[in-house]
Amino acid sequence: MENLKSVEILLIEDNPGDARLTQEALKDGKVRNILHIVYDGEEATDFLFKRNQYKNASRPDLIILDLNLPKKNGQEVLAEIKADDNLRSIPVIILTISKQEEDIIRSYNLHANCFLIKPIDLNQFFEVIKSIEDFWLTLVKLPNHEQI
Amino acid sequence: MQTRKQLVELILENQELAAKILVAHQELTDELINAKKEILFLNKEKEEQVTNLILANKIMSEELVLAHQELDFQNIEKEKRAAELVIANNELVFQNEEKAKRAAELITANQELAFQNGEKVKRAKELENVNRDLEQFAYVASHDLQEPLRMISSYTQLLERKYKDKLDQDANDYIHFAVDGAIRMQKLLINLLDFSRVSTRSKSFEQVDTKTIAGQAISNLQQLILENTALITNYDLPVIQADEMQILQVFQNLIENAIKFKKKAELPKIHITCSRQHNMYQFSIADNGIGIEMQYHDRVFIVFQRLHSTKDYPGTGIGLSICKRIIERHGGTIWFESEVNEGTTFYFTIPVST
Repeated sequence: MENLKSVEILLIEDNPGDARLTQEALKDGKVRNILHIVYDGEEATDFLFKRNQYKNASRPDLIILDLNLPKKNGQEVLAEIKADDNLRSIPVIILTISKQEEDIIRSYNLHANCFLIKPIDLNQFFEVIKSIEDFWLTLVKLPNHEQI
Repeated sequence: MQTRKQLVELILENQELAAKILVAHQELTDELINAKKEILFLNKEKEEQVTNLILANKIMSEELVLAHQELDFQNIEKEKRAAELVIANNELVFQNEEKAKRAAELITANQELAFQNGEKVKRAKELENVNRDLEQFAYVASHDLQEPLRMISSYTQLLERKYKDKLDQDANDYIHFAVDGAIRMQKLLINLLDFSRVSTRSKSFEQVDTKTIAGQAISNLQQLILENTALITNYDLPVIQADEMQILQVFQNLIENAIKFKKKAELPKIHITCSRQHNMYQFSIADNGIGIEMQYHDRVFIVFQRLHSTKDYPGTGIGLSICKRIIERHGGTIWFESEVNEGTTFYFTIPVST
């Protein structure tokens, strides 16, 4: 059964505080998951393209991407993911503090799968993470990447 | 006989000659008389002429005297005039000098003004820059402060969430105050961000129907209106030239305040209307709320100034400051009239677009 296998999530987030909060929220969730955290854009592409220290990294089932990242920003990372034949089917969820219209439009133009704004309030933040889990990890049928 | 005949002939001849002489003499006499007459006549004429000449001479000499006198007079006058002209000339020379001096002074004054204008332009630019820097600062500060603050509030809330039952009441109280403070600070920062955005994130003016805007504001406040059973009416709201989102914010803030500061025993009634005063539209939002003491008139428009405790009336005290900034950005003014326990009317003006 597919569901017995843990879902692998890649969290690209430069703020360790936010990363930990996401981790805490996912810990409370129902879906078994393995959370990989990278802290900048370059580390993210290294992970996804299995470069340097991430030669043995696994292909994530879901990517949660912050926009404001050091070295390589979120939109650059998104463009690289969506330009790659192997990676583009992975749902990318933008989770950012930015409410700016241009960020939203640019992200969707780069084929982000959805755009979520990080709530300021903790309970709402947990709600958002829970809704990601409910929708993307439970409701949505994702392609089985091993067959691609 | 001969001789007699001859004698007769001679006598005849003599008689003839005598006759001729007589005639001639007569003729000469006549001529002489005539000539004399003629001379007499001529003489008379000459005499007359002389008399006339004498008379004419006399008249002329009299005229000459007169003319001379006149000339003398004119000469004197001319001399006077010349003297006057000399004086006038001197005066003109003096005035010219004065004018030249004045012109020089004016040039100096002009240069001074030009310099001062230049200084003013410089100052205005400096102020503009300072203002922009301040706005940028407020924006960056409120934006960037949110990040660490979010960490504080999130983790104190996480502490509360996970350890609430494992700690004693004191610990719970401490956590509660930390969470409460962080949340309030977040609200302040968000408001400060909104305040700085009035000018940093402003849009250009367009045709805005304030009746639609009032409707939009009421619809955005639906929950609050229902909870308080507020009655809101509007009348005669015009189309204006404005930043739509900002004007909506003004309407919304003022209506929200009118409901929030209602009397406990009375349902809130709010009336929105507008009248044209010369080249300004004057909007008014009148309520039957608790009123504001007029001595606080200026304070209510200052950022984060509050007249009531957060316990009685929640809020950060930025709503009216934002309204003031928006209205001033539109070239209008905002003020209120109020009577304690009777109600408050907020007024603001927006220029009529030409």
